[in-house]
Amino acid sequence: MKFELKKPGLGIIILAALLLESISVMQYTYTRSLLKEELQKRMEIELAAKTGIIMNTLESAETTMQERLGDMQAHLNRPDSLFSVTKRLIKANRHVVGGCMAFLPDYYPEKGRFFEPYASKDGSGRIRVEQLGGEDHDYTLHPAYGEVLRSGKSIWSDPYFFEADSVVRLTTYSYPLRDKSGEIAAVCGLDINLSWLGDTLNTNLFYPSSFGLLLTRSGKIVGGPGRKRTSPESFHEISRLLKESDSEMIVFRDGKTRKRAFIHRAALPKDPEWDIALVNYYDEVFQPINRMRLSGLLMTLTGLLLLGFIINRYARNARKLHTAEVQQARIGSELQVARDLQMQFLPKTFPERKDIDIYGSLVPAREVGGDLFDCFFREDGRLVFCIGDVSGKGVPSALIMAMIHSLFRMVSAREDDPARIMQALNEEACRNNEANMFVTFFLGIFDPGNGLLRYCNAGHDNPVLIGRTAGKLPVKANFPIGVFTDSVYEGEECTLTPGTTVFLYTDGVTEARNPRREQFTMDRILEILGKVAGNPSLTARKVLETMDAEISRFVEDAQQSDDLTMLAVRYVEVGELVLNEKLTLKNDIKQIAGLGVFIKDLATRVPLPDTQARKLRLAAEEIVVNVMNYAYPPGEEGEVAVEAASDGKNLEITVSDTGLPFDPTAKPDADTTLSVEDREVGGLGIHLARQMADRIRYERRGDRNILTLTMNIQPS
Amino acid sequence: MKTTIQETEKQIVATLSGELDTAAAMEMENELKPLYDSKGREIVIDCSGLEYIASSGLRILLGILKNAKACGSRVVLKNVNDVIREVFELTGFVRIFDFE
Repeated sequence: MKFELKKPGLGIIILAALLLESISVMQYTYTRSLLKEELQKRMEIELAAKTGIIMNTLESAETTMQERLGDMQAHLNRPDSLFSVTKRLIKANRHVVGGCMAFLPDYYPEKGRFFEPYASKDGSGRIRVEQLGGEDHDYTLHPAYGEVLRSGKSIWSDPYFFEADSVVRLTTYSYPLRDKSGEIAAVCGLDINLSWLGDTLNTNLFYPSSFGLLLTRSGKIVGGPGRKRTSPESFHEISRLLKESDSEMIVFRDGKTRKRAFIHRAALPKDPEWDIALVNYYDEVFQPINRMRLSGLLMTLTGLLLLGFIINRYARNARKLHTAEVQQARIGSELQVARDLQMQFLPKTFPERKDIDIYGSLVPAREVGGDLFDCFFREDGRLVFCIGDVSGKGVPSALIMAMIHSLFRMVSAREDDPARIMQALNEEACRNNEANMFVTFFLGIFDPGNGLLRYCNAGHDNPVLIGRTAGKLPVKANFPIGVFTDSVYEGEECTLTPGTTVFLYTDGVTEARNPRREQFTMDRILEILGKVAGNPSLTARKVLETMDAEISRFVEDAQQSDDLTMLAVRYVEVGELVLNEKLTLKNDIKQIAGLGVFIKDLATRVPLPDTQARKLRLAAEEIVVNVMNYAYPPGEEGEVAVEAASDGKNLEITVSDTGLPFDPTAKPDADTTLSVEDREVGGLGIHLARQMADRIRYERRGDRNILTLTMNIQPS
Repeated sequence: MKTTIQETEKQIVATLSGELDTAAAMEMENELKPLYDSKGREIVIDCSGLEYIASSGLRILLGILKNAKACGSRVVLKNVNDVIREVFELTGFVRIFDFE
């Protein structure tokens, strides 16, 4: 106890360290398995491509043989013409470098016992013919010859070197040639040049030390990268491994370098059934993740330091109090830490886009409830969003939430299928779940291009779709995550029409209680949203503000017992730009009259009803005057650019300047309730601008302050 | 922007017409100087011709009001149209001025 008083936050830091580390390890393992899967896919493609190249070559030789059969048979009765037949046999196919017809012994008694017309191409492609058979060249001793005669079928030989010292690698296709009566007269051979094989196998590999091999059925390596990239010992070892196992992926460890590698292999689909093997070393495959792990560690450390700092500060405050109070302060500060942790993961700003409007809010209960929501745009332009509620309260649930959140971010950045994301979250939540906590979770991936919403729900309350009416989004009854390791998650999808809003919430909303212990209920949510449905100028923020006001009215002065979390995603109907104008003013108040004229002109062209036109003019003037007066240092000349754009539904005025950074939307509202004496003379302008525009947003982009005022054009 | 001022023994009446934007407000500040010297008389600001007001205009009115209160004078705004009234409401000025 004494120890705890001195170091009130040590437990939390250790817990956080363990948690962050387990997140990091988990990310590491997950990404590693992703990389492995990715490699597997790439190798499947690459193996298929390489198999294809080899099969094409072999099949082209088989075709050549078939095409020339007629020619060969027709000339059987004139042995001397067979030399030009072999010439024609090898001429047509560029892969073929030699061709022979080895006749059965004594087939033509006048030609002697061994008769073998043979044609071959030399280096420059010239064809020469000769008679090879003889006492010194007894082709009947060749294994392929006997094999073809025995089986009556064609065969491919294993690749061999043309001559002992040659670099030219050949394979021979042997085919039984039958005469008119169907009896085998000769074994015909086509020699195919395979010298290109090693190169083909070793191009298009993904990592610098990767290499490709061709192995015969007996496991002999007959094509590879050359000895530079690897050693005969590793060849031997790989060949042994492939012979022993018939699985498509094998792990190999280099005897010398001790480096491990994946071997992916595929066999040619038919005779000669050679194996192609592609080897990729671990260190290169997993290189990105090793870098990531390092930066992850750095981030973890930074996070811990920060946490230590926060806790230290609380602890210092706590020490000033009496012992009893210290106890309480400690509990308080732990709560605060949990809350800080929770808040840290919530989006602080929402993406600004024309086609999607997002707004979310989380009001934490006194005891942190472990709610979360998140949204972000992926690189492919799709929006990922989620909402969740961790069972239980306080530090443990905030930590679970943090873990789920970071995994969600990581997986959903590249996985397209919501059910698979949910599966991954569930597996992880189950793995690190001694406290038996579970999480209800909804996640969606929305494509603003075609309006397709893919989603998966894990035991969370139905989101509400607000279109012309408001109704529940149908969801499958999947288990919450963290309950069973083997829960199966089913995803669903639907297409949203522009103008639809998806409203998500946690049970803090449905179960908000008033002093009479009555609950807010789903029915009330639907009733309230039903009233705002069909409003074309509805915004995500407006939905949440309306709901918020209704909840406050309902609960009266009852204490909030659970986090109150809501998220609204609106698919905005984007019209075509019908107006686009620009006005540039100097930072000189005398030029302000130009703005009045500019806005009046816009208002008649859009057209904007008079009341709205006046409001817009006032808002724009206040903003522009503010820029003129304060953006640039006194005496310095500067510009204010005013741009107007309208799609017929909204009119947007953008005021930008290159002056000092200043966000007028961040200023607290002027207090309009003070008496005459207490009223400040300044500060009203921005207050007015905020009141007058339907929407106002600020952004600092590069060296520019950009302030956008939006009016939802009302039909006049 | 046009301003006329009529002084009697009991009242100073300022009639504003046109658009009181920021540029106009700077010029008007001078023309309204007599209102700072009310000597206990009631100040009436007739807004029947006023079509538009920006915060700089409000600021001038607030200055006049503060000064008047200090000298024990009353400030009355007359014939304020709806649009301008909304601006007064949003800024809380409805509570500190008298309207007729």
